[in-house]
Amino acid sequence: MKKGQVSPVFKYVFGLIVGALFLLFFFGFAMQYKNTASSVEVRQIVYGFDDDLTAFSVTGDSSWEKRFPYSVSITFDNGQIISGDFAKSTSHIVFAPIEVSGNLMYIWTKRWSSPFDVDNLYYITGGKERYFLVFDDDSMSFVSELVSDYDGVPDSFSASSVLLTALADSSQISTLAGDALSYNKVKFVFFSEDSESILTAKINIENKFSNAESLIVLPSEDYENGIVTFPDGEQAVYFGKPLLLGAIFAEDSASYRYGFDSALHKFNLVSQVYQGKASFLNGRTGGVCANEYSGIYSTLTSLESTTIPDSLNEIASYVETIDNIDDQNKALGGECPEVF
Amino acid sequence: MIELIMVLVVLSIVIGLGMLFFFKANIGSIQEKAEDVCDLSSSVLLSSALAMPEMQCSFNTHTKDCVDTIKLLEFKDFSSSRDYSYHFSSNCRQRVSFQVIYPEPSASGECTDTTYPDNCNTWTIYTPSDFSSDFALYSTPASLYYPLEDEYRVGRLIVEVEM
Repeated sequence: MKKGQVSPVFKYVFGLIVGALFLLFFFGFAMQYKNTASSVEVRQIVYGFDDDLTAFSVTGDSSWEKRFPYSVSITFDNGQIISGDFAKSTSHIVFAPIEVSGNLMYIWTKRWSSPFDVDNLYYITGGKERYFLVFDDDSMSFVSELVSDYDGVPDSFSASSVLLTALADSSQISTLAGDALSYNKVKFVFFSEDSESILTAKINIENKFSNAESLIVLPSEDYENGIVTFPDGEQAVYFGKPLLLGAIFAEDSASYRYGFDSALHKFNLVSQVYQGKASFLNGRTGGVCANEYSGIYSTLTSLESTTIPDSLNEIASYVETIDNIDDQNKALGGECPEVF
Repeated sequence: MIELIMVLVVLSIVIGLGMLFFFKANIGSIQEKAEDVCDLSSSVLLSSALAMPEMQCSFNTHTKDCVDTIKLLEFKDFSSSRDYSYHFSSNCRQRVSFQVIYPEPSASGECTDTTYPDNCNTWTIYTPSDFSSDFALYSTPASLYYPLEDEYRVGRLIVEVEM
């Protein structure tokens, strides 16, 4: 080999190293690009989903299907919408399984009022949950209303009513178990005070279902308010049908409580607007309706600091206060405009 | 050997330039997507803000398609709080306000307890801090209700999106 000439072996080794470096560089670049693209994609999903919820807040009651071009997984966790590695805080109050996946999601919204409109509550399912609303003679008409075609739970939420006595019959339970085979989770919601029958039904359910859990609703006389006992034994109150539906569709007691607290917080915010309006109207109307306006103002202020009731009696008194301000407001009119 | 190194250098420069163009185009496309998301959420806000219980008219708890101007007066006192920042400015920075158009008020300016109802024409509901003067404007007509006068005036909801 002459002086200044490079050995062919060295050339091959050099070429191999440079080639490997190029390959490594392009591989790293491709991975980086893939990560960026997927990061952009999850942001689009999350922002788009939150926008959809906002768009439907204009209606008091509506349901719709959200289709994705591919299967996605969205987690709803304490005021956050999460997909992949991206989380976005949302002001919407959502009751849903902790994780909803698939390329089709069903969303339903109902406006919660107490007595004035407060906010929309959202219920979401991926269609992998089955709900059986169990009724007895007393609760039959309320449960029929809950599953009715008009104003009831949309079909996409797979909710149907079952007579409590049917759960004492093993052949009927087997039929239900067959019906629920394709679902990941089954929830039985008992609307009954017959604890003995509920206990028998729960034992039968445990024998036939591996993925079932039970909620027990102890309602007030008109079913509008009450207490829900969750599968973990935790109890929580509800005011109005939208919050009861929240308890049914929430993942567990903790996520219901988060939604409930958010709803009450929103109630306080809207209440502040009405307190301000009552006080403003009082000033501008020259005290003609001072009693009514200051009555509404002070009741709204006191509701803000009231501890949340946890027994049916306390709920009744809380609801009475709400009814009172509603009556006070309805008494206004003419030269004294109503507050809400 | 020198030829080999020269080839490598030229190849690296070509690849480098290619990457530069690619990244520029890619960043441009991501920015475009972000702008689309922003456009969409501004349009959504335009339609949804009018139905917010904090602003919408209600008559004995029954809502109507109008905006209560006294509620606007009270709401704007705390609408810039953290509770509403997710609602008004979570996807992009935007200023939200209402303006009376007809009948034309005798004076313009921000409505307050003292200037309301006839000596003002604007209710600024939400302004992000250090809002830039470079923005895109979206607006929609709104029916503004004056409870004390029991009358409706023509107004508009304005959403200004920072560019």
